[in-house]
Amino acid sequence: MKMKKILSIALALILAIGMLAGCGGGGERTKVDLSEYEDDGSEKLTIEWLGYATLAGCEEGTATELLLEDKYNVEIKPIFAESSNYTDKKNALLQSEDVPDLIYELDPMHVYADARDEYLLEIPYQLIEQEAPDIYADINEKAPAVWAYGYYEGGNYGLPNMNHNHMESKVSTYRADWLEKVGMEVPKTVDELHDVLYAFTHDDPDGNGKNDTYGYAFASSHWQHYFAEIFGAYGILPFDWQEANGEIVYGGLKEECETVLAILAQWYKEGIIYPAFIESDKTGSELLQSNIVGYLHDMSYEDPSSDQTTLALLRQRVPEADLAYSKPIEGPDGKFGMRGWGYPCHVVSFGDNGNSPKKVTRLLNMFNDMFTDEALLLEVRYGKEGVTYTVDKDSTAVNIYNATEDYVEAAQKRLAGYEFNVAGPTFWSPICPSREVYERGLSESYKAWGEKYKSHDAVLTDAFYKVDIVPSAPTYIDDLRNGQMALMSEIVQGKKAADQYIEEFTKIWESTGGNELLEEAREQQAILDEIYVEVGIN
Amino acid sequence: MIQRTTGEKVFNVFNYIILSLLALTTLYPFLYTFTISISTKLAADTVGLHILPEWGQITLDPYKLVFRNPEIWTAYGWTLFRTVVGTTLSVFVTCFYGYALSRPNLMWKKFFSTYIMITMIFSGGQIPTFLNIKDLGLLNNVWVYILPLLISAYNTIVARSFFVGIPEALNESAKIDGAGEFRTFFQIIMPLSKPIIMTLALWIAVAHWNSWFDSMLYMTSGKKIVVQQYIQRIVNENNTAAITDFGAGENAAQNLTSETVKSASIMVTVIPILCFYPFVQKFFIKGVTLGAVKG
Repeated sequence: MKMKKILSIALALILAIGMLAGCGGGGERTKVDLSEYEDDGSEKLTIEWLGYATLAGCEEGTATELLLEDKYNVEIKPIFAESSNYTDKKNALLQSEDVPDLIYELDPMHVYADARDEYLLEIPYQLIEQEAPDIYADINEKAPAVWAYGYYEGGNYGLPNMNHNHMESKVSTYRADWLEKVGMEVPKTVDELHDVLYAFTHDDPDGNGKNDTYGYAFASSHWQHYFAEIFGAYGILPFDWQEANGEIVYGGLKEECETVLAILAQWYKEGIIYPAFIESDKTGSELLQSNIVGYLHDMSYEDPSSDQTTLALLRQRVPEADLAYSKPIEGPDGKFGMRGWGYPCHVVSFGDNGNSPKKVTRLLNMFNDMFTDEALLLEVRYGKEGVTYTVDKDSTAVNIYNATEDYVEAAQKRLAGYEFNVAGPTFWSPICPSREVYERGLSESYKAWGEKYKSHDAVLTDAFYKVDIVPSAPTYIDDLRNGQMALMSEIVQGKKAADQYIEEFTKIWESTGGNELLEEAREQQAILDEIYVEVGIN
Repeated sequence: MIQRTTGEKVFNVFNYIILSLLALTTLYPFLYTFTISISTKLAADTVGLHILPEWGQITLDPYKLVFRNPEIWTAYGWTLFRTVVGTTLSVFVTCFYGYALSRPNLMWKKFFSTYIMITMIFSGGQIPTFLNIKDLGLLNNVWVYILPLLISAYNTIVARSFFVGIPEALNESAKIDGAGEFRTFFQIIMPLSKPIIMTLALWIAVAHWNSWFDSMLYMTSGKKIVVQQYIQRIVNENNTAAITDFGAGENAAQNLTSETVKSASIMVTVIPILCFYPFVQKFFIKGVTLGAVKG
């Protein structure tokens, strides 16, 4: 019996020690020695490449891989992961001490966590300026706040990438045949939008004698679409950080929110808003195609030659249907726009695995070449002109690069290691193309449509481009947003008064860590100021 | 003939109605997915109930597209491999262990029982398991689908409970006739164990058929993934371009949609294992109660 007791205590102690052994404080950061990164390109380096998860199912030895190996004197061991479980796969590799040399990080929070756990190499800004000068200059010019994405406790742990496609604004869309039926024009202001939506709801725009149409529905139930253009018309991003009088504030705490919510509550009372706007799993596009709503605030360009466009599908049910487009409506002060992600995309980091830091320099050079050398970039992404793709300047698709017959199928492209993507990151070229290269890849049809209906000014962004860049965001942000949306929906549906919003939301804010988030956001602003000094921005 | 009271008859009527409604409720998601899978894009995107397909909007193009991509056949092959081989080996090993635990004269019986019970309660977690798999050389190896899942504590306990219920007299008479332990097991015990074998086979086969996480985590080669991972890729990523590439005729474009192809993908993975159930149902019903009474 005594032996049993001693054994039990011993086992419990072993368990406790085992659990606590995993806890360890971070050691002091060692100063980076830039001489270790010097690379003349003569040494053949082996690089384990955990790239952006877009080539799941691809195998080693594709033409793109061989091209890069030959050109940069490297041997690449690619790790192809599924995009839906990329983080699981990455964490399994890191925690099993199998740290790749190149690690594509999807979120600044992942950079933060991996840097804290000492999986990432520190990459001084000076090194990036030296080895990837064009990328460095582009970030400083377009979106220097994105440097914060790679920041952790005074050091930089990655190279942020920027996606110019994210600066494409969404377009407002109306049933043109309904407008004609009710005798109205495409609205330009919030008040005019109200009048149009009211007519869509009450004046039988589809002419079927039934009261079965509505004005307004969300593009989707995602928080980004939550009456986005109405809030935007009052200069509010209700779920983001904004700058006001030189200070960071949370958009959802601005007093103007009550004004917008009062308007929306009135619209809901008038029946303008699709009643199931919260619980419906149908997208705005599906409601538009089903002849239920006559307006969408979040439309993208569609190839007019395709029979899969929203209009083409709509005309299968309603042959006389037509669509009209416009920039987002303006508010009383002339403000307009909708939430967008802005330039920033993800972060390319480098694993701290005991391998030579020269690989960082080699990769930075490679990425900078892809950023400046359009021919190289096209070969990496599209293959050989005339063999895997052709250039059609008269194309009505988004871009001018079309696959040849043998590469039309996306599976064939993927298995060959190609990604026909002129804007965003890819597995083999994780740094997105420059604005100039991106625009040269766009079709004239797309550009002409964009000039009429799009505007960079209509892309409203978070002060840091991502609300959850603050360290405590993973702990609090979901509960905060969900509580906020639930409260707003109650007000829109008339269950609470609009002038109660700030008071009620303040309670939610305080109980879901809002003050902590705000404090961290303001610290983030101070961190950015320090980063700007280091990267040479006034 | 059992005489039922009026109250019992009324109860039976309401009981049948409620159970039928419940059955229909559980059937609706399957029906919905099937309906979407044979609908055109127009019909699938139309708001409303989709219990039955819309007349004039029925098409098999989504299925044609799913089956025309050769990656699915490779994935199916590995799924069948793990289901058939994995189930056979697992049932065999589980019955072996369960039978051994059921023997009253097994040496260190308590140790072996506790040993397997601990695995039912505690687990190393994802990362230690990954490290273990890596150290065993099973990364990117198809045997990772089978070896780590060869034995489960719950199945072993159920098997043991069944074997305990077989009269000891049979073992004794076999021993008297000169049969050793292995001969007794294979020629006396196993023929009597069809219920437990079929029950375990069903549970293990379904687990193998549905597994995808091990494929995602341990396979680096796209040629060795199972069909569930392939389908999971399609459904979660909304990446129908992965399987809609090969075209299904000149009208294919009209009938393409992420929802219809997703639904068709789900149906092709669910239907085969669903067809397995009727053949083992009678054993399953008996087998479900196996562990209920005997300890």
